[in-house]
Amino acid sequence: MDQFDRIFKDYFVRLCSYAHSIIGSEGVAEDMVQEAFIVLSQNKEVLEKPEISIKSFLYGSVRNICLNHVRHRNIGHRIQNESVSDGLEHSDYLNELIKAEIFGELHKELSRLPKQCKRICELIYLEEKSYEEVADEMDLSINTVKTQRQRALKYLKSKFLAVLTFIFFIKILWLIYSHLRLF
Amino acid sequence: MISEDKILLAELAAEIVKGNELTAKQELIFQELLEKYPDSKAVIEKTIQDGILEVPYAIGRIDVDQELSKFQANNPELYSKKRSGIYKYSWWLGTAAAILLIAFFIIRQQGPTKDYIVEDKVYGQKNDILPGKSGAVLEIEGEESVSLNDIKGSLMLKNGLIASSNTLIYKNINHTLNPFHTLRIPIRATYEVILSDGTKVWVNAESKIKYLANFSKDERRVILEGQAYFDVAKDKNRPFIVESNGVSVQAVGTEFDVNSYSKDFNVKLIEGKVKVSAKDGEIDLNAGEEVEITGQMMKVGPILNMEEALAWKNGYFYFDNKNLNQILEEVKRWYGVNINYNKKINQTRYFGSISKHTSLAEVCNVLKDLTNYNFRIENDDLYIE
Repeated sequence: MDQFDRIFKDYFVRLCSYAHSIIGSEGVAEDMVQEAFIVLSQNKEVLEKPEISIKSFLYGSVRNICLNHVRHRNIGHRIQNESVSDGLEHSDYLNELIKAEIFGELHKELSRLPKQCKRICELIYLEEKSYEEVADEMDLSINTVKTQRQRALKYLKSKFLAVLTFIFFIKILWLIYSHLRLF
Repeated sequence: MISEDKILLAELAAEIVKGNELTAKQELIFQELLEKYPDSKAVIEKTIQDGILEVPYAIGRIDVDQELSKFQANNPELYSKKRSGIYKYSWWLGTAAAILLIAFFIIRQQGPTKDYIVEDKVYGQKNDILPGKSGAVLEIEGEESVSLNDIKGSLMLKNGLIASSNTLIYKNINHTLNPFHTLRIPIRATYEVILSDGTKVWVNAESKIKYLANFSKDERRVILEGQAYFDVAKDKNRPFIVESNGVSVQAVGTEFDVNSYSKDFNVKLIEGKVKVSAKDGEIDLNAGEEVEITGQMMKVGPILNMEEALAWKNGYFYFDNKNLNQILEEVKRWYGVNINYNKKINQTRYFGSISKHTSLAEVCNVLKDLTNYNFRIENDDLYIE
């Protein structure tokens, strides 16, 4: 199951992003993706195909599972809005797929940051803690916290900035981490 | 399934956002895909130019390790077997494969059609596919490889080798050197070989077997990839050893089947006695027993259905308690088709047998009756619906 676990880790987040764009509710997206991996585990021969085929299988499964979910959810509303599920069958949600891939890659880079570095970023940007609070919590000096933060930014910049200007980079992070400011 | 070129388009877009420069070929493919899916242009441009990517906060905070633990806890049966070998495809390999796939597709559309794809007049399929046949390629170390397809009568190769349409025979081999021979069986084929000691080997499709033209004085050793059935000639002084995927099977004179297609390695012993050694131990197998090796685990049990064990070499698809996936694995190798599931298939197990000499459309017809799924053939793709 080593290969399976790796695929699970590599694709889980991006598939969640894709699922979310179809069903629009957060907690449930994870359940949909969990289910897609069960389908994959029942179709072991897919694992022997090239990675792109495995991806195509996974995205396809997530889409179908989500659409089923949406249809069930919509039964109650059918009278008010008959066209809710119409036309869904024909869409592969290509734009959502593209976003999911971009986000997946970005997320992967973030997860590659050294643990301490990542934790510091999380505390600063996600939990909106001050340098002092972070330093206190992690038992580090304020200067260490600052340099670690710099290191993380530098790494991410090197991965994502060749075509984007610095401002765009901030925007991406800003939007991913939903409404939190970097500076 | 989502078409692979859409995945490729998304991957290439992600590369661009990451700031990696595309190769000229990738760039070309990217442009072609943009033309094919013009609606996606806007979202890619928006992401690149404005740096805007809207993903909810909660998704970015998902703990993948925790999700994996959850999955493992909910699906313990998947993890009950020990860990086994890994395929390590890198992301790029996947992309490269996709590019090849596209290139292949373009070439295939222009190239001549395959001779085994024929018209179907009976079952209403778009086309039919003829069954595989005998055939192999012999590679001798330091020499040019020899095709053993479509031989009429028998053919004397140099060094005293004799080949017929379905068997290669080593007898009175007069090699001054004693090089390694490799017999490679492609998809849609099987072949038999009688080795220098008189041992007969049936080699299944997509398999490879390597041995010395004349076995050495103290052992008879062959290296196998894929599946083969061995009828080993008696020779008390020289054990016969099959090496495959890090497992070795040692016999004196006996009949057994070795299947190393999947990561789950399987040896079925029909007659006699063999010793099976894997990385983490060895066991003695008695006649009528089989061993399944998954990673470090060896599971021994009786062969429940002897006919099934012998079926492939006797020209049958034989399935006893197999699910559709497992049945189609064999179909895939014999007809050289890609299996595409357009429907989530269940794990129902089936019992039956079909001659390997029938065409694919006929096999599909039987499987349709058996499973209630619809089987559609289109060129060399098989769709399950």
